[in-house]
Amino acid sequence: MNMSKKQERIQEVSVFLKNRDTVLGFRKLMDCALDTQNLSIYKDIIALTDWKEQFPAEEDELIERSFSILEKISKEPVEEYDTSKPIVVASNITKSYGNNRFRLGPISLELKKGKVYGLVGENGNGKTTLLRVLAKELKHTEGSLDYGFDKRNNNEFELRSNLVYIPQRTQKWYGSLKDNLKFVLSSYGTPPDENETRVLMMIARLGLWNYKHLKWSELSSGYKMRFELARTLLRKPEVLLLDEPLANLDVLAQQVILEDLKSICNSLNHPIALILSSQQLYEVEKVSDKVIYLKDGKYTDNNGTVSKNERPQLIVEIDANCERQELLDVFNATSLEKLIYNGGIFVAYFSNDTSFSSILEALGKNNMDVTYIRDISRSTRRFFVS
Amino acid sequence: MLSISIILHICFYVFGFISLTNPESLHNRRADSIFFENGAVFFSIMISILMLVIWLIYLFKNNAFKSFYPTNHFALFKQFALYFAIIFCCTTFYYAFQSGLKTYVDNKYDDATIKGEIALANKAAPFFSENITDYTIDKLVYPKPFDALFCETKDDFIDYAGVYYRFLNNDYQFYSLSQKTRPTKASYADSLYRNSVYTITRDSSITYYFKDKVIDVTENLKSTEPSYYNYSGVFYSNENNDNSNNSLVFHNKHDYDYKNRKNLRLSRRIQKENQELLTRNNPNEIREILSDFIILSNKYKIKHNLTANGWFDLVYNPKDFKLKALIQDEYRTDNNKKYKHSKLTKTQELYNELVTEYYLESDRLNIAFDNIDDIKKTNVISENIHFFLWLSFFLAIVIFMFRVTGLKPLLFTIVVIGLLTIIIGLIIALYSYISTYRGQNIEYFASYLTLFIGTMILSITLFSNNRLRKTIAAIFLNMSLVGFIPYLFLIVGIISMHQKDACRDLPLEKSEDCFVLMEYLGSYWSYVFFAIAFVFVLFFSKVILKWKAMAEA
Repeated sequence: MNMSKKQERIQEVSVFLKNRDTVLGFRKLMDCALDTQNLSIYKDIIALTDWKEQFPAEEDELIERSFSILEKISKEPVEEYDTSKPIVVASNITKSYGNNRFRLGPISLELKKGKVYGLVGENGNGKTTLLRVLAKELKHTEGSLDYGFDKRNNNEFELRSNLVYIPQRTQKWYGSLKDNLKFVLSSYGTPPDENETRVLMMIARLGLWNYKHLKWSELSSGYKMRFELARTLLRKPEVLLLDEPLANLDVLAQQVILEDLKSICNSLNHPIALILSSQQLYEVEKVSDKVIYLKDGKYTDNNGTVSKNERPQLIVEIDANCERQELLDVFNATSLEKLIYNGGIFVAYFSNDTSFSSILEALGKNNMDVTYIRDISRSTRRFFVS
Repeated sequence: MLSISIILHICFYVFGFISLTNPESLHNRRADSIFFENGAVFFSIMISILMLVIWLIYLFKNNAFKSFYPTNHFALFKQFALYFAIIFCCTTFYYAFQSGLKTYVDNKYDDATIKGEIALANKAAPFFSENITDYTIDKLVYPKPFDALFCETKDDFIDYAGVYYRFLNNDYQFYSLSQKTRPTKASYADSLYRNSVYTITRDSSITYYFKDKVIDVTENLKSTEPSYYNYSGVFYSNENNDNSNNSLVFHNKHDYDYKNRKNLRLSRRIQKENQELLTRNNPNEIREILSDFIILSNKYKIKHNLTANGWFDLVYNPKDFKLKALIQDEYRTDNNKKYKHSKLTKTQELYNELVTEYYLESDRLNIAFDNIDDIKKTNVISENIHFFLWLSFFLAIVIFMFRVTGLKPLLFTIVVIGLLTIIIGLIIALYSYISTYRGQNIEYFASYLTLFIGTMILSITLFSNNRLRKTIAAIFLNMSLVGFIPYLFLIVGIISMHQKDACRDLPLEKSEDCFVLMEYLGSYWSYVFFAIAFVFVLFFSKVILKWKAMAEA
């Protein structure tokens, strides 16, 4: 018998917990809890989070308590959401800032719930413009833009209140973090007792537990972004548009927040279509279901040029302390087609049948001093370096 | 914030309630404006500003509308209405104070008691003995024939060929009166009625009284010397204020001696009662009046050094009740109590002769009665409520604009309105310079030009705002929001202007009942416009939502 997605996720959590990956396991446990939408389970999680912060060393008891909540979660019915229908459909949209000035598009894309879309490209190539057009902050010049929200929108304002866009520079807010989050839910008419529980649950999920009484000026920029996410997620958006959420975050924080975003968007009963722009190619590519590469306002589908089954041309990025000629000599035996040096790194293009391991082998045999090497055949990185 | 302001309103009510507990505070004129004199006004302004600032600080911390949290036009309107309610409550402590004042006075000085006290004061007033002139024969208005006579006291107007009377060097001559009546509304000149001694205005007519013939009253006159019999002053009456349409006006050259006779009928009644009292000549009755009055004076903390017996001895002169002693109207030191010019009139000499150590500040009691009457009669929610209503309304509109469109469009709106005003002013100036017609033509031009521009702004906002850039649309939005009421006012003004001009062309009789919208509305225009303004904001909230959802160009 096939396991339901819910059972799979519970299984996953119990494996993490058994392997004592408590940090990850606890986060995944909270995702499962969020799927139940059950306030009593929320309260258990909140109590456990509070306990965990008080006794960080007592891992065994944490695991034990987590299992008891997991047991409770497994008994809750969770209705799965059908994610096959696109929520945003843009066809041939363009945005022009006037004659002879920057022009975005035409771009056609479909955003589906539960999917993460990475928007990459160099500065000034229209990432923010595209996000703002999708968020209806900017008028598009041509093309059509349709939204398929579950909630019926009676007017433009209601539509816009469903399109949640977080700009790169967020605005200052006043008062404590927790109060601000409660303000969001009260704006949505949530009753006070439910408000407190939901807010604390979100605080726990986004790792803001120890920061909940801090003010804007007391938070680091990474936590400010987490706060913005918490604020946004409380609004239960169907589509989430993030402009550079990873800016100002350290590498580890980038990974954590991307993982969090991905798992929150993958919620079983409340999936979110997430589109985020970033310069962190590697990290974004790792979590994205689809990467949208923008160059001069034009859209290149990363997967469009090369199909998954077909083997692409091998492109390798190399940083080595050597002369160009030395590298040419090393790759003499391989089927090197092109070697480009852009001042910092070499980009080597090989024929389709060359394998990455053979390149590594050649470098190793010649005892080359390589500080960095990466196969970018399938990464949008190849657009940046070419 | 509303509940705090309600608590403060209660504080101000209590403050108003206790501020007149000392009767001495009633001794000065206009005790009903004590709010402006005892510092309460500064206190209330300070509290108002403080409350509004604190409220704004809290208000500006969060803006759900800016973050596109779900809302609808009714919720938006509710926000505006709340701003209005809070501002109104935070600025109107004056009314709480005044109600406190009124409640205190209404309770402490009930109508029946005050009526009795006024009657007592009027009964005792003949014995105040402050001025010789209050007791001279020209004050006789009772009994017959004096009730129908006019006594001339000015030498210039005395007919020395007729019978006249002299006391010291003052002459008195009695005249019968003739009268003429005309309707109030007739607008022709008063020249026919020149030389009247006084006029009585009734609802629809004015009666002019003229001196007719010199009358010999020697038979009726007991003596020409000042006597308590002659006193006809009304110490206090709140009746003459009741009906302003029935007023008595003394013409300038005659009026200075008649200042105490604001109400002839009342003067006659008081003199009649006084003369009857003196004729009964019952010392106990008089003494009782005086002692009751002293108790009354003490109640109101009126300064005096009278005792019932001392006073009685001063005034009781059972033979003819001639004035034999005077009481000062305020405390003076021995040095100051007498006239001290090198050349004194005979009356002044007599005053110096009769004046005693006694004093009674009876004026203060008069003022106190007046204050009590005023406070009882005032309607706390008076005309100036409109000022607070509209002040709160426009403040609420400005805050609403700031919340909805943000600071930049608000500032731009102010600049644009300023520019528009200058441009309209210049166009009007130019028009008046080049146009050959002068006068009202310019009024029409200015009104219609403003109307045209106003209509344009409003229709662009309502019908084609989405074709503009968002910031410019915001300016139009703000201008419509703040300008709607002035726009409405302009329309009513233009209609009234046309009606007035049409009335001017009508014959005189018809012009009286001519319908002019603005005059028809009267002071109710404020309430009418106010209701319209709120309905406007309610419907305009839909336009605001539409604007907010607009994407930038």
